[in-house]
Amino acid sequence: MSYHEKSAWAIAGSLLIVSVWYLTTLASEAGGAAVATVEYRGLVLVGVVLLAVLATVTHILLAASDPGSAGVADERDRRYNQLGEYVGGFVLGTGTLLALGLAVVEADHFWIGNSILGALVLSELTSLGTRILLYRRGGLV
Amino acid sequence: MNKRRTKVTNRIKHLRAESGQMTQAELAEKIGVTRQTVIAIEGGKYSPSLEMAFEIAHALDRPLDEVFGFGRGSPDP
Repeated sequence: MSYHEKSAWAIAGSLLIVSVWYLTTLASEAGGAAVATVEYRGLVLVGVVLLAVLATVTHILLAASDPGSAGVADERDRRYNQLGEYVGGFVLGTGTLLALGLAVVEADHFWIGNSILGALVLSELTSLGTRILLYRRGGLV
Repeated sequence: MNKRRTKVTNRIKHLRAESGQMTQAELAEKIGVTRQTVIAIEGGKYSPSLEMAFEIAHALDRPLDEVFGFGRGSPDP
């Protein structure tokens, strides 16, 4: 498994862990009340810091286990990264339109903020999933 | 898991053996890619760019059409 495939797994895993933490914390803080009443902005900041720490630690471990290939991308890595970003872009675009729609109907900022956050997370997961699929199955290019 | 093969075929494995048992790692170093990418190309999971295909042919000291093929009349993998 190449360094960049391991990196994609590491970021996807970190993102899933932080997303599950965020959603379960939101649900527990709501405690049966409407979830939109929860003060989510602090949780988002903690989530971003948590994601940065997890991604950094996993990449330090990856680089330590294979120092020669860390940070070095070849043609295949670059092509797969571009394809992943291309596919993820559609999800981000769709999510942005959804957030725009919520802003137009003057929805609560909780839903606008969280739809943007959801679009960012889902687009990144789609991008990473596409890359992992290409590394595993090959083909397409 | 079902693995997709590209339409481009190649004889890299065979030619590596012919050219004095060149390893995948040695070929990877010569053309400036990772060993995993050489494995993916050899296994037909990844089609290299034309530039990389020329580099591989050059590293194996063979003409391009002896290393790679496409569709009918292509060299056996």
